[in-house]
Amino acid sequence: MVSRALDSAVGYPSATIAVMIFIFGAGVGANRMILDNLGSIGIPAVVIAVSGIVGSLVAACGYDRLFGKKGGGK
Amino acid sequence: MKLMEMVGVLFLPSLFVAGMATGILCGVPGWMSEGGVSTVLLGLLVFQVGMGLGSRGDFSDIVRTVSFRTLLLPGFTVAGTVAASAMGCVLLSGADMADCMAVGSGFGYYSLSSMLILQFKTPVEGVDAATLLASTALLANIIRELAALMLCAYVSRSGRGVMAISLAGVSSMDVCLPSILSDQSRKNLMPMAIIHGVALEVSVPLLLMIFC
Repeated sequence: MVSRALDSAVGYPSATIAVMIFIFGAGVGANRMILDNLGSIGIPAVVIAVSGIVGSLVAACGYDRLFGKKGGGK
Repeated sequence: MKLMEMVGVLFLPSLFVAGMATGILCGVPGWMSEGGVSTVLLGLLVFQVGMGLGSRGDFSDIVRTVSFRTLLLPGFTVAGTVAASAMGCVLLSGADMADCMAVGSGFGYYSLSSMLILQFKTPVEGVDAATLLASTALLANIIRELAALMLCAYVSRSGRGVMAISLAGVSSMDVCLPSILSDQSRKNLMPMAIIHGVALEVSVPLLLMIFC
């Protein structure tokens, strides 16, 4: 999925990001320091993902309060 | 959630795992790790993002339906996500707030955001710290996209289509679009969801430049 817009236009995931992700993974695998710390990224990743989800839901709820009913039908 | 969507979401993570296995078993050749190839690929990536936006058949229709109010929703999503990521950072002792905001600014677009963090952070903090943060961003944004896929239909069906769009993040314009449209109470959700996705896609590199 290089460009999500491109994917939806042409209908298949682009190869560029696939190659990049593979190289990225190889870089992680070949690096001892990162491998040793990989266990410690799990909790921050979950905390930030959940925060982001809650934050966007709250913001959208605010948006809906402000603009939802007035212009929602158009 | 449809099985194929799940497979689609897990395709790149599985490539990441395959790359990791390769790196552990064989190491990485210098031409791969020293950034030359990645920089060329990143340039290609940015070009393809622009090409993808320009080549949408419905691009002009979408631009025409843009109203000020529609454009505000991505702004709300960005503000809510980034602010909440900063708050989440408080729970993680010792974490850098700008780093947390960078990880949150992927809006589920794990491939682009992790690659950009890697590129932006490497010259500043070295390849090890950059890779660690990029890996965190990859995982956090995969979690966000999977959660969006699973929750969007539920949120939308209860008449909260706008919240479903915001929850979906970048994927409001593709994989989550069908579930968003299951909110029957509004008529303008489709252009709103696509504009939201496109605006967030454009905002990812901009926000990362600020936070990295």
